[in-house]
Order: sequence, then C-alpha cells, then structure tokens
Amino acid sequence: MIHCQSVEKQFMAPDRPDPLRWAVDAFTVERGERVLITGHSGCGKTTMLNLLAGLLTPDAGTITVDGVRVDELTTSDADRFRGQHVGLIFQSFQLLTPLTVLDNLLLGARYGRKWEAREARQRAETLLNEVGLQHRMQYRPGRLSIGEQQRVAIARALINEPPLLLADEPTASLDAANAERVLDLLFRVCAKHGTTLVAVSHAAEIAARFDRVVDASSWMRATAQEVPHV
Amino acid sequence: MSDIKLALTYLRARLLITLLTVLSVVLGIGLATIVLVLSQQATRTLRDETAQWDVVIGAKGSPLQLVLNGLYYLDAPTGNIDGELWEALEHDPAVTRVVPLNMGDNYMGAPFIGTTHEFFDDRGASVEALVAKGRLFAQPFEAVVGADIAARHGIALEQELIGSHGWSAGGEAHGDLPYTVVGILAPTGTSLDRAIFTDYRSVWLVHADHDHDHEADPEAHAVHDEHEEAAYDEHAAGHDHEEHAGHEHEEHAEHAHDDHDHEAAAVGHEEHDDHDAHAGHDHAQIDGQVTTLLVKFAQTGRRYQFAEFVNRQWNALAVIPVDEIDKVERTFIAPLQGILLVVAYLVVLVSALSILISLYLTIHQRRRDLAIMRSLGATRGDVFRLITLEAAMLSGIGVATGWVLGHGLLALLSPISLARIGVSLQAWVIHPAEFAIALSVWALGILAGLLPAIVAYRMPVAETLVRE
Repeated sequence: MIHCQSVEKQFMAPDRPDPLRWAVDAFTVERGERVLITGHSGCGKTTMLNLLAGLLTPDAGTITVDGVRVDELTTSDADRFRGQHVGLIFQSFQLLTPLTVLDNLLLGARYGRKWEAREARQRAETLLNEVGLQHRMQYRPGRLSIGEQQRVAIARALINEPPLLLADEPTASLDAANAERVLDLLFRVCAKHGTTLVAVSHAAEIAARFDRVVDASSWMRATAQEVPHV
Repeated sequence: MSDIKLALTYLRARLLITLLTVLSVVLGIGLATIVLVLSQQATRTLRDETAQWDVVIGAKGSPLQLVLNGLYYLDAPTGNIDGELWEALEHDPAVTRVVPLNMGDNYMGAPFIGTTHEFFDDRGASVEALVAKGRLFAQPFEAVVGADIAARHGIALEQELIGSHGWSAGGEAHGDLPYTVVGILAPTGTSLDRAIFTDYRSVWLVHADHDHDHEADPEAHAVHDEHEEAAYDEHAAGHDHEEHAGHEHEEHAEHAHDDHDHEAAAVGHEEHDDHDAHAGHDHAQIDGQVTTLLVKFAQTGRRYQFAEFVNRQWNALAVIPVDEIDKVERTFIAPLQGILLVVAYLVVLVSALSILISLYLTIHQRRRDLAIMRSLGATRGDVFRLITLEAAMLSGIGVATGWVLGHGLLALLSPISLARIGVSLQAWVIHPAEFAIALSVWALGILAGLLPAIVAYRMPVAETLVRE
C-alpha cells in the first residue's frame, strides 16, 4: 500500500540560520496493515503523514501510495488523490464548525467526487449510525462532546471509502475512556472496510493494539544528525 | 453539498458582517435606481404635459412661472390677460385647439381651474374613460375633481365645495357660491389629478359677485349678471364672438376678427395699438379676462412666429412650454441627476471595497476551515471558486435587494411626488441603465472577491493545519 524510498525534506526553523533536514531511507506499509508511528515531539511524525497525503512534496525520494507516485502529482492532482484515496483524522478533529455534523460528512463526500448526492447522503447516514451519532446529524460540532467530535471526524474520513486512513494523534485530546472507545471504533471500521491505518502517537499505551510500531526517532537517527522541527 | 449551500452557510456564519456588506451594496444600488427612475419619470411627465400644448399664454411675468402654473398648477398665476386674444385665436385656422384656464380660487389648496371641455381632448383615452365617476361639467359651478384631490379629501359626487379666494388655502371663502361635484376623474398620473375643473365662467361669476359685494352696488351687480348671462349664452351657443364682441367692445372684436391670419391680425393690432386700453377695460376685468390660454397648432413650426407676435402685439406673454422645460432639465434636473449618480457610484465603490475587506479579513479567520477543505480533497480551484462565489452572492443579494428597495421606495414616494410636484412615479418601470448598473456592481463585487480568493488559493495547507 505504501512504499517510501530515500525521502528527504528540508525545513526552515525560526530559531536556526540553516534549514533542518528530515530524511527516511525506507518506509513500507502493507495493505490492511495497522501501523503506529511513535517518537518524541518534533521528530517529524506528522511530516510523514503530510507527505503520504500529498499535502507536502518531498525534496527528494519517491512516495508510492496505493500504486500512485504521490511525489510526482501536481497540487490539484494531489488534492483529488487525497479526496479519493486518503482519509485524514486530526488530533483536534478539524471539523468545520459552521456546518452540521451531516454537512461535514457531505462536504468530505463532495471533495471525494465519488458519489452522487443521494448516495453520499445515504452513506453519511450509515456511517453516522455506525459511529453512534445518527441522532446528532443536524447538530453543529460545537454542541458535541469531545469524544463525539472525534467520532464525527472518523466518519468523515471514511465517507469516500479510502483505502488508506492517516490518523494524527487521534486520541491525544481524549480522556482514557474516550480514547479507548475511539480506538475501538477506528479498528472496527478499518477492519470492516479493509482500510489500511497509519497512526501517529506518542502514547506508548496504545501501541499494543497495532500490528506494527515504527519508532520515528530511531528511524531518523540513521538518516540525519539533526531532528527537524515541524 | 453544493457550492451555493456552502457559500450561504459561511455568509450566514458571519451574519453581521454579511448584512453590513450587503447593506452598503443595497444603499448604492437603491440610490442609483431612485435617481435614474426619478429623473427619467420626472422628465417624462414634464414632457408629456408640454407635448399637449405648443404655446402657453398668460400675463407678462416669469415664463417658467407661466408654464409651471398653466401646465402643472405648481405656481401662482402671473395675472390675467385680455379675453380678446382667446376670441381671436378661436377664429384662427392655424390653431387646432385653444382653451382658457381661469384660476383664482382653491379648495383646501387644490386650485379650481375654469376651462372648456376641449381641455380634456387628446389625453390618451376618451373623455368618457377620463371621467371615472359622473360626467364633465355642463354649466358654471359644476365641478369635476382630480383623482388625487378626491381621494385625499374624500370628495364624492353631489358634494358641495366652497372655494376660497387665492392660490393657497386660507383665503376668503365664497360660501354663497358653492360648486357641486358632478364628476371625478380617473387617476392620470399628471397634474389633472391635483386640480378641480369647472366651467370657465364659474371664476368670472364668483369674482363678479365678489367684486360687487365689495362695491355694495346692487345695480352694477345686476348689470354684470346680465352681461355674464349673455356671455354664457353666447359661448354655449357656439362661441358667437362677433355677436358677443358687439355687445360691449365691438371695436376690439372687429380688429381681432378682421382676418384669421395672425400676421394680418398683428398688423391690425399695430395700427390700433390700443391693447393697454383692452387690458384696463372694466368688462375684461370681470368676464373678459382669462388667466391662461393653452394653444395647439396644426403645424408646431408656427409656434415661435406666433409667440413672437403675441409678445410684440399683445399685453401678454406667450411661451413655448417645451423650451422652458428643456431649460429646467438642463439647468436643474441634469446636473442634480449627475451629482446624485456620482454619489451613488461612490457608494457602490465603497460597497465593493467593503466586500473586499470583509472577505479578505474573513479569509484570515477562515484559514483553518479552508485548509480542512483542502485536506478533504478540495483543490485550490475549489477554494478560489468558493470565495469568488461568496463575493458574487454578497453583491448579488445586495444588488437584488437594493433594486427591490429602490423601486419599493419609489412606489411609496409616488403619492408624495404627485402631491408635491405633480409627477406620478411608475415605480416598477425599469430604466434601461439599471441593468448596466446592476451588472456593473455585481461584477465589481466579484472583482472585489478576487484578491481574497487568490489569498485562499495560495494558502499552504499542511502549514496552516499545523498552526491553526
């Protein structure tokens, strides 16, 4: 599903005169695999997710996701690729607050460009039912609890049936009970839809639930003397 | 979820800014609409009335005052003129129509206009259609009331109206000589709506009676009454002016009717050169004088020659109404319209700027939302289109609302305009320039949205998601 080779990216840091160098020799994830990337803050875990999603372009190396050379895509093609192949879940949920829960999902469907309006609505309702929020469809995110907001974000990430789900600190904003419930949900829907999951977290206690854990700190140690600040 | 729904959602989410921005567009478009329609219709109404008559004749004074009084009843009469001129014109083959207007009294500020039935000819529909209720006057002291005056004062058929002396309300009442309402005119949107029409002799009779009351001379009163009856009979019998003229001022009648050609008449007048004597004639002061004469020629080209002749040979002032209204347009209406349009365009420009500012500021507030949309798969083009659409909707809603409000306000102003300046506004008639202005403002609004749209287009997604 994912194959990264000799990927490099330079960043300008506000407190340094020289750019920081982020590099990964190789990173591979099999289809349906559930991988957790861990490491200390600032080691570039989110950078990897952004590169996989086509939100960033590497300075060097190749990134292949679901058979597509993401590093070679134009900005617009990367946007379309992301809409159809990648679901993104953020630490702060990143729901659009002026929109209702249902409209958040429908907007995701719109930019996925896969469904007719009626299909998109049916799928959104099914997913909200799946995450237990069918009774909150017309609520705005501000009226939902933190746990509910993350469940909406998961449903939105899955609206286009992406083969790859990228989750950036999906439980960092949640208490232990909610974190557990969200992880349960995440694994359940990924299993049900056959979705590959790559998550980033510095919470070691959730590592056991993943198929594989990649330590970003050691991973980068071999490629760079300095740790980039992202 | 469509772009329109998404744009509307975001416009609603910042409702106050949206409303204020739309309001600025509404003000610009509303003002431009009102200025355009008002000036167009004021000009049209003024021109419609001037098209009815080639020459207006009245007492010497201000030409504009004469036209404003004679055609629009907006100003006091300049005085009275010798009725001989009317008699002369009645027999002039070049004159298609000549009607007298006798003024001097009012009912609660609405002028009584003494005239003949010919005054109502050629006013679009038939005379029957012009009279909504009842009929035209058939004898002195029968009155036909204009639609606006009837509505304003609740005047009904058979009602008696007591006139007051003078041009405005508050003069001495002629309580002993009331008018009976026999007809009410249909609304015309012209000055007809704001006056009360009666037989031209009514004014003579009222003021004859009035003068004699003051003189306290019953004998003289009787003489006048006798004469007035004679005048009435003669006119009713087909304007036998020769006979009428022979009644008391044969000499004047003769030179007036010697020849129907104006030039010939002019020569005759020059030879006699006694019009001042006419003007000062006792008889003329009572039943021989008219306030205004409205003249229509078969060939309008004659009007200048005729006006020059009258001004030279008679103690009267003849003016070409269309020329006077042209002067008013050039001197007052056009410059005022220009100034108001400049103000309207400035308001529109400010509104376009407010669209730019509000969208530009909200783009910075919405960076996170736009980045999320991009993370969901929205292209830079999608985001650009969304912001441009919001600008188009802001200006579009403003243009539509401003247009409706502008015309709505004109509809509300129409009765006031009719009462004050005699112009009935057809509020929902569209000025051709309105389309151009509406499209320009809409386009300007979209243009104002381009800069914020470009900012959104160029926004770095990953960086924004991390920062916001």
